[in-house]
Amino acid sequence: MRGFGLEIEKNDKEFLTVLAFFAVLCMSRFYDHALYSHPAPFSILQSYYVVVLATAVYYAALFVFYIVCVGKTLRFNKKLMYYLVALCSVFTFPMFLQANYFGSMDVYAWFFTLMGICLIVLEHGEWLVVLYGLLSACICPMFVFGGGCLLLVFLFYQRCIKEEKKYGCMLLAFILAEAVGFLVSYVRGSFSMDVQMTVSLRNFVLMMVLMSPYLLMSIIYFQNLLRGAKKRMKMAYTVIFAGGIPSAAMYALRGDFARAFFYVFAYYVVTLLVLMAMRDEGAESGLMVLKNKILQWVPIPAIVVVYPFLFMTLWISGAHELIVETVLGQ
Amino acid sequence: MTMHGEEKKENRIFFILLGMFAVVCVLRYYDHFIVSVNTTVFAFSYELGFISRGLPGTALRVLNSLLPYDFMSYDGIGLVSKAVTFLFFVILFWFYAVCLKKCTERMYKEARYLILFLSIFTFPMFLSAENFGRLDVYLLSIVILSCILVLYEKWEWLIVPLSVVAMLIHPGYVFMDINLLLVLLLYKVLSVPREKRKKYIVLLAVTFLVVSVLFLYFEFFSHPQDTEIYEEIVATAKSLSDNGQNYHDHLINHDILGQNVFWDEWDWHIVNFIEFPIFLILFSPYIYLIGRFYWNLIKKEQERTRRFAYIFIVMGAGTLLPEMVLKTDYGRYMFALIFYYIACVLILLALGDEGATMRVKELTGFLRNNMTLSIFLIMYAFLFVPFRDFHISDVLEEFYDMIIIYLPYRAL
Repeated sequence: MRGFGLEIEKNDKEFLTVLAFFAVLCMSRFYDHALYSHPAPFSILQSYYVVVLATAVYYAALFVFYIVCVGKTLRFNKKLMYYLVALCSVFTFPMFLQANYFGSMDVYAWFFTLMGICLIVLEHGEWLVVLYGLLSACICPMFVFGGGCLLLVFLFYQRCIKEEKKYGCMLLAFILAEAVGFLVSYVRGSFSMDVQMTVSLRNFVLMMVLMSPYLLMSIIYFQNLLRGAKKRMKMAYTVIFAGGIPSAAMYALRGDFARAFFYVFAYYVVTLLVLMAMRDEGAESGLMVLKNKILQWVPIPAIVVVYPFLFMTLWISGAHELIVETVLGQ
Repeated sequence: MTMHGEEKKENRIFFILLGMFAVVCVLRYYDHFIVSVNTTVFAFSYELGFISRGLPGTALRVLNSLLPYDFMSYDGIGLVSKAVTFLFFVILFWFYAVCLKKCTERMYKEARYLILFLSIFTFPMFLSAENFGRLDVYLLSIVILSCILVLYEKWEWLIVPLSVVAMLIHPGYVFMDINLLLVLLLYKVLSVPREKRKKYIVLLAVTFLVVSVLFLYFEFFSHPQDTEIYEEIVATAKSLSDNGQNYHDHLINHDILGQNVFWDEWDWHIVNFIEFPIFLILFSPYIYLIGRFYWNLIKKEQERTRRFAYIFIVMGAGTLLPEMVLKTDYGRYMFALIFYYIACVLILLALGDEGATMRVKELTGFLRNNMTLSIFLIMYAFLFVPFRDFHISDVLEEFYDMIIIYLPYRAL
């Protein structure tokens, strides 16, 4: 671990062990034991055991990502990092266990994205990100707007803070790779969007209203982030902020509101984790301000992490239990 | 005990958030369905004699005759159940407010966390198909209301008629709910000045006597054992069900015919045998924390009478043991257990008990030092809710499904 500059302490190990146990229980709680058909470039990717394996690999990639984030974070920010990891897990653990999303190509693309982010954070073998971009675009073309954006914005961020030419080249190569991946999937005929109508528009709007405090928090956070930043950094932060919009907008427009909901939150929480892992001073101070505001406003701050759990399981329990059916009748 | 502006404001925000949480829980967990055990019970009434669980059905018939709405139907039971569940939430919030108001200012934060933790289990409990409209919601409301009266020290004599009503609703009150009230009364007996003690001794004795007599009567002498009545109840129960056909035969066999249904429920016992040990393992972080709290509470108490009261509080949950041995609804029993132990801590804080205050402070100090535990303490609980009936929760059911296929016995 030390070779990568990771500092994993006893507390970190304890936290990650408990998180692993929590993940196992999440699998037991949310796994639907059902595999629906999803557009896939190769039929083998839709075989049940391959999907189970892919989901396990996705979980492993998540844990590698968490280890990198926790290991890279400064010691006095660790507690905050734990809470962020917990919040991220609230979204990422149950999502691809539910019948509608279990076996979707997103898990493969997320694997490549998380690995790519780890390489960017560790500053080791970053050129592999280009290959990951190509592979994820080939397997799940629409992911270009989701995880692809994540990799793209962090390459751009590195270009802004490091001012090294290689990041500029990487950025261009990555865009090219994504375009090639897009084209390959188009030529191969696997260019179809995996849309799951699990949540209705009314549900989505209601969920967004109930989740609006988080919108307020993200606005406060990015306001603080931009406030003291230099011009170049302001540009980097603005790109990071804007990066979450394409995936959410695309899925919302196509009617896959559950995915839109997931992508918008997963994107911004992963962004926070990465910025903290990269020891970005603006991000750290912005998060401190936000934390103080939460402590000031919310008498039980733990609820900020726990509350989204109710929503992540919302569509998982089946259409008859959805929020709108309760409010507006069947 | 006076609240400063700042704390008062924080408590107000807390209750707004808790209210929102309750609303979201209702939206999330409410199943829009009543299972047959909760409709069949309304087929019982005092028209058939002074039988066990006769009050809800009798009240429904009275409502039916007084109001221009068909209460003797599945929808009618649904409406009553909704009203009672709403009332339960109101009483629960009242209880929380009383506890928070009565506890010392330095314990507000801890009390709020306890309330949130308790709510994670309590809010969804009576919303799922298995437990929506279950008589437990009536009993829990009554016991909470009784505790509020004792905490306020007003109209405490009302706990006797309230206990009678609870027994008429469901004799299981003796096992699942009254322990909270009895230990509170006992605590009062052992802790109040001599001039007040007599009142609590009388209340404790009368309540205990009344529920015991009623329990013995309902258990041994209230079964009509009449096949005509049986047929009539089955017909009514069917008419009250969702599809006009469902009814719960075990319930009628036990309460009307006086049959022992232990072996009829053997499949469910198997579920319990498998799920309960796993539950104990998965729930061990909470068991450890609660155990640690009560162990220190007893061990570190110098005063003999108070220590005696604490021992009674710990042993109070023992009333659930007969249910756990003879019956099968471990989901309900585990909820009752959790509710009992957490509510006891809240009540002790509300009573300003010095020992409990110090032990809670110690526990929060321990949690603060164990960052991981404190982060997952609330999150982890979410995986278990809502508790069901014979299946404790969905997580446990998953484990059960995994294990049962390797056993030679084929249960449900």
